Amino acid sequence: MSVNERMPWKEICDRYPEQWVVMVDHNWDDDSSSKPKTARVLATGATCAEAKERARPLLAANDRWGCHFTGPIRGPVFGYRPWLLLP
Amino acid sequence: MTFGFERFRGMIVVWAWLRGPRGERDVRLALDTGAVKTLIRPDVLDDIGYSARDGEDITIIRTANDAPEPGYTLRVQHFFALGFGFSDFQIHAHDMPDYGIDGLLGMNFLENFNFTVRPIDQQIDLEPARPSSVA
Repeated sequence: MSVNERMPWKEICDRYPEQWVVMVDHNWDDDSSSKPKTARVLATGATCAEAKERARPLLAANDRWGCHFTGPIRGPVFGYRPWLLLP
Repeated sequence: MTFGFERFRGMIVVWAWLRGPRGERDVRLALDTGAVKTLIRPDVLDDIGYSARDGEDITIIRTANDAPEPGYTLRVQHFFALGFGFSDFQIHAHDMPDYGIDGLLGMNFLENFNFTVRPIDQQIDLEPARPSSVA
């Protein structure tokens, strides 16, 4: 992994699917600052803690960073539970 | 102002960042109009130099399908999302299951705006309601 290579978020997701990635040097899209245009990946891991641990030696040189999941977000699924309505 | 967002299984995910005494973290948050306060996972707060000792209040979260669980509130030096930032911004520190996000963008941020969510276009239109309060 080259930590100097800048990649768009989509390419990061494609290259490291279903991984947690520690990213630095976010380059924010001027038109839509709600997501980064490109960033550099310092480390990856199966969990956020693992990715952060692998990136730890490099993080001291980076004041601003993020640890993000490249797979689909797994939100809570709220369902109708009729037993809650029982007295 | 108009911003794009990511959408997963009906959830709206936006990017944000927050600053603490030990640096800044970029985070991804689910927009949640049902959350009174913006919620951030405690491990993210640890990374930027906060701990439970910095908390203002112990709180209880009551979710739709889980038992009440304790958390705490604290103020971060700066919080920025959807093109707007707030200093000394109060957030709720609370663990959440591994959903792949860092927390929830709640109403204590969103109430400062009139906003329109356009799910088909995957865009949010945002207009500050109180310009003087928005940094």
